[in-house]
Amino acid sequence: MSVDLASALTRLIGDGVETAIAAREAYAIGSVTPSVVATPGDCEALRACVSVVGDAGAALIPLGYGAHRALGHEPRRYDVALVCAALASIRDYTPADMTVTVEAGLTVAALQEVLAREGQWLPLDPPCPAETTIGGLVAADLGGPLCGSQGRVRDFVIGLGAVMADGRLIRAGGKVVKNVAGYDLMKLLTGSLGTLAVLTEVTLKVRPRPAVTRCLVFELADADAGIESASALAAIGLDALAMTVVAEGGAGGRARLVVLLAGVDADVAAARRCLEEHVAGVVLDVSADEVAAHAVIAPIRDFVRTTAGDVVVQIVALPDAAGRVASVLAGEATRMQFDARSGRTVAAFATTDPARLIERVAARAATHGAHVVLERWPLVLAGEVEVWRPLPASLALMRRMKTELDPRATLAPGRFVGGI
Amino acid sequence: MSSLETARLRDALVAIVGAEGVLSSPADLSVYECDGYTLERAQPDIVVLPRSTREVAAVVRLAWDAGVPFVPRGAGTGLSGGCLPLEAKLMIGLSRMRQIRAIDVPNRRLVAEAGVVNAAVSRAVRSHGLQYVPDPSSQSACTIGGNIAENSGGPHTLKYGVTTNHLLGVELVLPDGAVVELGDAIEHTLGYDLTGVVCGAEGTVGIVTAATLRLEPMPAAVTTLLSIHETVADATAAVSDVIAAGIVPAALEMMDRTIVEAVEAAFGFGFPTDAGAVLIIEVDGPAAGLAALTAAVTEICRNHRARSVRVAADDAERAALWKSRKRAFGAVGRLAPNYCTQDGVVPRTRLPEILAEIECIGARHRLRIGNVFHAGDGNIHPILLYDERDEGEVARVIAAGREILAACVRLGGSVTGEHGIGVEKMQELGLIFGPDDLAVMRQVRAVFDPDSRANPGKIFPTSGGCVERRRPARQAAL
Ligand SMILES: Cc1cc2nc3c(=O)[nH]c(=O)nc-3n(C[C@H](O)[C@H](O)[C@H](O)COP(=O)(O)OP(=O)(O)OC[C@H]3O[C@@H](n4cnc5c(N)ncnc54)[C@H](O)[C@@H]3O)c2cc1C
Repeated sequence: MSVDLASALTRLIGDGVETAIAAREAYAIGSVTPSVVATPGDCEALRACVSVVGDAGAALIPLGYGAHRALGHEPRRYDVALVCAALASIRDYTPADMTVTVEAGLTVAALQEVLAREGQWLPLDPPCPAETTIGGLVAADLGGPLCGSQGRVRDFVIGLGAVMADGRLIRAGGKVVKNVAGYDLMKLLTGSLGTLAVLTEVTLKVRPRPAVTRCLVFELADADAGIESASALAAIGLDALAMTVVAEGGAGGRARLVVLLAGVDADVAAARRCLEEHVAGVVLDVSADEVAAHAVIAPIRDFVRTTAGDVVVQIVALPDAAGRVASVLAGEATRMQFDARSGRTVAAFATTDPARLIERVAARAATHGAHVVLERWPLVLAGEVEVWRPLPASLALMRRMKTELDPRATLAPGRFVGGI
Repeated sequence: MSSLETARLRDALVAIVGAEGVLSSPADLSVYECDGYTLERAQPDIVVLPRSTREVAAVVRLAWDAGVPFVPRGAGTGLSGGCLPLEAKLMIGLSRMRQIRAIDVPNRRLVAEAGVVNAAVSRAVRSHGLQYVPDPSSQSACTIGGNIAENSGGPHTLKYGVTTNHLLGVELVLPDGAVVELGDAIEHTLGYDLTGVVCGAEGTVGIVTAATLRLEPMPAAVTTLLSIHETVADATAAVSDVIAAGIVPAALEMMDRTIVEAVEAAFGFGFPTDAGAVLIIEVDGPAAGLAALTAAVTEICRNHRARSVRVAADDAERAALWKSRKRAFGAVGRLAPNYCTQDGVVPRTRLPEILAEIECIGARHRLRIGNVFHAGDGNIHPILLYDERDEGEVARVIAAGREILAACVRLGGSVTGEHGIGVEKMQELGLIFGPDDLAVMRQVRAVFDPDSRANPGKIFPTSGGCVERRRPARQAAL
């Protein structure tokens, strides 16, 4: 089967097909290695690849550079790594419209560079933007320290092109910021992790880049002091772009509050006064400019993908419970990051008994009604853990959605919530 | 439905919701023959008004078992005929589901039933310094359920987003009567974002009975400006420059001379009726930077020959200004016996072109057209004035509307920014989407509603027989 499939794909895209073990292993997911890596050069080639894989009864997983492929369950079947990175052009960008249309394989970093030249940006900051494609950003619904103030991927996607499991190329939405024509398939595909369609093109809202950006870092007594400060600042509505508590070394370890301020000079100065008034900690670092400010926040942004640790979890809770969740996790984690405004905590653990740790963390999250995303877990537990908890009440409807749009289970089978 | 079927269904409905919750006399039903889109009318056979999710589920289940399709209705302020009972003769009105189930101030969440009026949400939380941002101009009447179905916008959605950006979860009654919870109060999506699919589906996937909404704090400081321009072209150029300067106002609205005249006659705010166009521009944010922002906006307006740029002196003046803007549609009633509000979108840089085009289209069809719209979003609302007793004029209104939408598409825009497809624009949907695009949307619908029981004959052109549509008989009561 895989030999036939490889040659069928080769007929379509020539040397865009690789079968060497090294190439294939670069896209392995957990313990599963694809038999073919296919890198179509344009949208039509990509469409044809999906068609061929589907008709062969095989399964594919759409990928960018594979930077976030650890997210999700091990696939039930994985014949082809469909690499979308060659679709990397900017299709339409009129800065004064504040929208941009790009192919799905363009990296977030490359897009930000183009936007920056016009004084604009996409205020989303997924981990590892240089290896994160726009398709990956949308499909995996990624976010970072900015999401507490700027919103989530779903708030920025206004149009898309996608290849369905049977090879139909479709579009939804458009290029205008307000549009209610037809169903909002942008919402359906955002966060669907490649299980419903392969994104080929995305239109995004962009925003003006703030005139001034500064980063302040406060050294705090411990994690709880940081959590308390951040929660208090969130409650009084401090106007900050990002505000993350970073705690390392468990209960007695050190903690910092990292705040990104942005706006016109007067805004930044006012926010800074507010911070210095409310935070009882030593100011460690005040970045001099925007580049330096983003350099301070970058490792925090990338943490979920770059940290060492046996188990990494992300927990999202309601604001009034989020601090308590974070506090509990900080006691055990090698490193914990907490964002009071989005209610998100990311924590990394070193443990000899990952299964028990995961259960314990999930149980604690459940008492606060929080959502849990298991970002990393040891290979030995593959197939035994549930990556997303709790399972949504509408799981049956979601399964129906998958069956309706991908009846042959061509697209990333088994990867998603509840094994969809 | 045959009269026997209708009678049987009515009895069964009375058993669920009580006699006062079922309407079937011609006089009662006539109220429900159209929404704010008055060019087409049809009467339902029965209107049922359940009071709880349990009752909605029982009613829907009954309809399911009887093989009867249904049409949901909120306040009936829709502007695309979304709740017109064409193929479904059973109307389920949510107006008696008016409870705010929960207010969570620390977490800024509110759970409202579908029939809660939009403005009531903000009113319920104002004392806590919070607000519900989406503010359609019809907010004193329209319901949260209708807002979700249409994914409604409003003046302040320019900076803060439309309904879907403030919606975290819904309670949905599926067409077979099953109740499902989609999403929850947490700022994170587990599984597919079905809440996002339900929002904007115009009642074609089931009935929303309740919703979890995000509240926002009131902005720290607000400045509202009124900029008066000699021509529409100057005003639109100012709009483009404000956006291009990297300023994101909270709201940026335009009214042209026709509208200003009507609004001034109705409310006497003090608008100059000889001006070509006025802009209402609101900026908000931290108090520190607001003066600079206000100055920047003022300068841009002056660069485009603003006759004057006035800052609202206090909250009272600000409220009066917004009242004039939000009631503009109503004021238009003074200008002509009837009017039709169109809704299209263009990329913001194309506003001058579309406004020039609308003027040409109006001249060609000998129609008077006023413009009052969400300029900052590129979301136009030409208001076509007519007299329904003049058949030729009615036909020209319909033709002109179609041409305006086609022009929006040509300029890279869309056929609806916030009023929906309904029955009005089914044909226009084909201007922006191909057969495969629509087929996938139908598949998504089928996941919720395999037999097209929920609001059939809307959004997607049906293959079924033609429905006889009555010509307008009178202006709908709004
Ligand atoms: C004067 C005026 C000004 C307006 N200004 C704006 C504006 O600024 N911005 C804007 O976006 N719109 C505006 N509108 C349009 C209209 O008010 C909105 O579309 C509004 O959201 C409709 O709400 P409603 O409760 O009246 O819904 P209805 O008109 O009763 O119904 C609209 C659609 O929603 C469906 N529906 C209603 N309730 C439910 C439910 N519970 N579950 C499932 N489906 C349901 C109906 O079947 C129908 O398809 C305006 C209308 C008028 C008359």
